Amino acid sequence: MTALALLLTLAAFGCFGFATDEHHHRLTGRRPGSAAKRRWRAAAWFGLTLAFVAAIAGRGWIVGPILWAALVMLGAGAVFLLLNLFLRRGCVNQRSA
Amino acid sequence: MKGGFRQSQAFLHTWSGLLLGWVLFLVFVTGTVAFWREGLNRYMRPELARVERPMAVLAGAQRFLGEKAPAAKSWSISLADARSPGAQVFWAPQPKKGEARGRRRGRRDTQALIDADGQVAHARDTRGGDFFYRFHFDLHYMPVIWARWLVGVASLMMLVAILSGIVTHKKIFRDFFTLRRHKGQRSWLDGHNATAVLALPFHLMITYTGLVTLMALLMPWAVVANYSDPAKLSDTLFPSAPAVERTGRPAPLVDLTTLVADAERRWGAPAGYLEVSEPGDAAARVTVSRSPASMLSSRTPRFAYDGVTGRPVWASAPPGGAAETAGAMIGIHAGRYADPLLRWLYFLAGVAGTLMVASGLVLWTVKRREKLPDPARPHFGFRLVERLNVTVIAGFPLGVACLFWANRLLPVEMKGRAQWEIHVLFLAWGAAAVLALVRRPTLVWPALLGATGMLLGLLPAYNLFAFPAGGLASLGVGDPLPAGVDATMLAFAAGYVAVALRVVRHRPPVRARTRRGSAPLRDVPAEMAA
Amino acid sequence: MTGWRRSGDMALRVVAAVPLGYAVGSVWAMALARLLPLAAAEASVTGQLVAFAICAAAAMWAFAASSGWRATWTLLLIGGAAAAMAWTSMAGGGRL
Repeated sequence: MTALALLLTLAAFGCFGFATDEHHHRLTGRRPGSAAKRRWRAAAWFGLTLAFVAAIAGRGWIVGPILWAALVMLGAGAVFLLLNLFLRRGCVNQRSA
Repeated sequence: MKGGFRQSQAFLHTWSGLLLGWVLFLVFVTGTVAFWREGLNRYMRPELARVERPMAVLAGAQRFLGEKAPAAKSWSISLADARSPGAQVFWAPQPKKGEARGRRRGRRDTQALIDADGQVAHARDTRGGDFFYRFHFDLHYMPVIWARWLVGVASLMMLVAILSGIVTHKKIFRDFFTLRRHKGQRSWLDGHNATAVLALPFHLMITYTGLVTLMALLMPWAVVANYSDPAKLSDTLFPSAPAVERTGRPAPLVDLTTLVADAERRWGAPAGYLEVSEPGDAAARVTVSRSPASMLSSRTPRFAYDGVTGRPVWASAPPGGAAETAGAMIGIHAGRYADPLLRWLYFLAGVAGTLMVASGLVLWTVKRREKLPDPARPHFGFRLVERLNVTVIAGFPLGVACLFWANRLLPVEMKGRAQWEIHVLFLAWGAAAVLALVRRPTLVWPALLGATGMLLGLLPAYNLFAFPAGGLASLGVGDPLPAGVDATMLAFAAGYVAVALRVVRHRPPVRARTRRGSAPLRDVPAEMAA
Repeated sequence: MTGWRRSGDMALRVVAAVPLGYAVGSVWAMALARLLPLAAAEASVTGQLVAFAICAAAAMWAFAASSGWRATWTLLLIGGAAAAMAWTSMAGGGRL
């Protein structure tokens, strides 16, 4: 359950990140339209909600919410590092863009 | 008003963060390390085996106290588990005639550690992880009340800094994943924002709950309003069985392990702490407290038993909603309830908080350096902040690394060894401070960061030779602690060395002096001129 | 909006934020402790728990207000109201 919750938060923040102009452009070469952004963000919120359910199911109503919050922060941080430090390497012409 | 509001909060954020920022850095570093308090208590006593049978340790503690202090006024025993080095025992002697209470508890000659075999531990004298825990709010070398006021005021300023930071951060969602690199001030800002926003729930929680842990000191007025005698509130919040009077008739103390077993059965959870009043007397009373690791609230329920017959005589009343909330807030701050995964997440969030404070302090100088009219002669405030930054942010971790080395290298038989490990921390930090005063920051930053990295990196190697039973060998018998600490140290060592190298290679753009009549600087990094 | 940078105005805001902000939080904690319809221990603890948020809010207001003087008199008013309630209640007796 905990692992599932973590995967869900990672996916959710992946969606949030993909919905931003900067990272979407870097990954696909196109800027996302506002409808696309809305869809990706809705998917992200849905993922966070499912992660909450998974956390409660796994750890109960006291530790569950705390674990969920911690996994949300971890997911956000991991996606941040992924988008900014690891996915950059493969891109050309990225110096001081 | 809108532009003015954001601006005013930006100003407030800068100053509430800066003025005691260095204190906050120390609090964050030691608090983050203190999440591994018990683990470090074990790690820094490498002679001790892991506790496998907590009840055997308790039986040993009872045997020890029965021989050492059979007629004491009270005994205290904190129960051991696999994570702790053993059972910590204290005893309070009977008060002499005319004294209201016995000698103060906690003095060196009325405490002992009982190891996994139920014997008095023969391990190096050290404060272990407890040092980091206490430093986190008591600091060192000062009366604890002063330290707690300082830490409390700093924490309130931290709360203001967080709230004003949130208000002032434009586009907090749009810039959530932004990290501009190689852009000087903007890169530092993005780093500061990232460590702050990504772990924002943690930072808000830890700051507010930290204030709550000190609220008896910082906010007594709400108590004064309702109580002319604050002790009455303590009786409500920390209930205990009625005190016993010594009868003078000796009677053997019941086997404590049976009482613990009974209490654990009633709670369905482990016990954490035992207190025995008037042991060896007919009126003996044993109070068992539930382990704070087994529930969220730090204020755990208690049972009291007759010390001779073992009959239960009292149970603590369930706390009211506000008391339970306060207990839960303190519990969520300390994280004693956390299992290993959640504890690692607490630790990572603490590291993020430490980086947030450090990057904020550095950002202040980076921002202002670009605006200095004469980079070769910055104003006093700038120089003060710059030197304090390197002294505290780079110097204190060096001290901590030296503390770990002192724990390994100081002679085991040395008197006052535990205090000297801490003196070594401050001596190293003092040396770093002197270096920071007399040498340019561009030199001192990589020197201190690199030294810290090397010290942390070499310690696991030393452990491999000096303590072959630890590290990988322990992993083999299912004890991940020594290897875990060593691996974490290696990871931090790599981080420190990487940052040190990055600082050494940093070449900021040249900025010509704006004063007339002076020769323009050629190819000299702005940092060198400062 | 540069008026608030003047040093006299700034000094007033700092005083409003720190000693006065703490005082406002404290008297509101006392007022809550006296007036909440709870047991004494519960009311006191509630007051303590909430006080820090009030102190922080007061400090933010001290800098957000359009002038240092406005910050000061508004906080004095808010604090005074709580102090009046707390003192009246305490004068009626009932301290454990």
